[in-house]
Amino acid sequence: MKNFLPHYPTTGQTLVRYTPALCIILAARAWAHAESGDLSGGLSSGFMHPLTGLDHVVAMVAVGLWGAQLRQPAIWLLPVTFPVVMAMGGVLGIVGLPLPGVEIGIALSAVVLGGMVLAAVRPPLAVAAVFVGFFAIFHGYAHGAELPDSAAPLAYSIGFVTSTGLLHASGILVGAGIDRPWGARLVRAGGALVACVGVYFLFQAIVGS
Amino acid sequence: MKARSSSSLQLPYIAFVWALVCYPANAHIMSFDIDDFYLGILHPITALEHIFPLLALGALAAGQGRIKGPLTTAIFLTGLAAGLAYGTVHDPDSMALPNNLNYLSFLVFGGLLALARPAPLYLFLPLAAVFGISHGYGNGAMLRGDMVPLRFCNGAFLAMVCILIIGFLPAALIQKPGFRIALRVLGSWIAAIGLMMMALEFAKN
Repeated sequence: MKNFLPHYPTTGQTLVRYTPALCIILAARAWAHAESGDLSGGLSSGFMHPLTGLDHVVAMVAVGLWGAQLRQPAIWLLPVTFPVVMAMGGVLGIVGLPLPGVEIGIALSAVVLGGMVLAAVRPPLAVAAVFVGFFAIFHGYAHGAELPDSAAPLAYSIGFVTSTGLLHASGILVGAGIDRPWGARLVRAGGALVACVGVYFLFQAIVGS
Repeated sequence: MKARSSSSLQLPYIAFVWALVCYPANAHIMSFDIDDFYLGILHPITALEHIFPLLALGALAAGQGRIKGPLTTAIFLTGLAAGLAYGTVHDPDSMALPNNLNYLSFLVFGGLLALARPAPLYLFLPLAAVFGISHGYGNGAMLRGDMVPLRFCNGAFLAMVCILIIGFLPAALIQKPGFRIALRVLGSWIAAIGLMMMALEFAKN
């Protein structure tokens, strides 16, 4: 029987459709002013900052994975609240308030969040939000501490907030397959991987300190 | 009547955004008369601190209802025009106040977009007016001595209206739950950026 229902694109199709436009928008050209520094450089260095730290990457992906495991409304609530709480941590870094154990906190975030995904822990939403928010502060602090040194701080902050959000989205995309027979195992395997990476960085951070 | 699919709605939007983002040939200006107008158009669309709050406001206006949305936008545009005009005649000692207000607009507009709640009119209207003035001033104050103010301001005003429309259209047309969530996420990003930039301005001063 012919399907008369309208065809809505899948998430993958939508991403493929919008990625070229997104690349063009993100490919910063000559900017008028606002910041004396190189805006395209600030944008790209901000965008790359979370990506060049594997501890950041795995923790952000774990937020997306855990959100997908917790399902609605956590799947979108965590990525909505995370940037704002991360910005609060960024504020601490910008004004130079001391926050001890930043690297340990970041590594621990990977361990804990990865562990939550591995064990498929499903706490109440508020508890999950507190966990994620607590670790977001450490991540934000690490990014924010470098903001004043950036020649183009606005572009830098846009870059790393966007990068962080896209990492969440990648975790959510992986977690979107959770209803498939192999999906739940894949998500938990992802959590295990995140936790292992977190343990490595935690060890490095403790030994280093 | 055949319902329009979401893909047919996306295509004009993508084309519109593409047309605005793809920079035209900048080899030269055909007529000296449109030079200042063209520079006025370029200014807000090449300044990050204007683009994102305006996009957020456009998206926000789409969800505020039939009266509140247009009213807020009208108030903002009035403030914008006033700020542009004032910026062209006033020589600032420092841009700290307009910059701080512009970054505050990131936080307010982005935050309201993330919350996805209609803002109370008694709060939203004054804020829209103040931020309109600050964004307008931020553009008007960049007028150089050899430019014709009216042409520059017309160009800047037109560009900012276009940015508002770009923010408004998809938020008004696309009602899919996934897109509404994406808007909220975008709002939280904009709010986060504003929070950090305000902290940076505070730390500098």
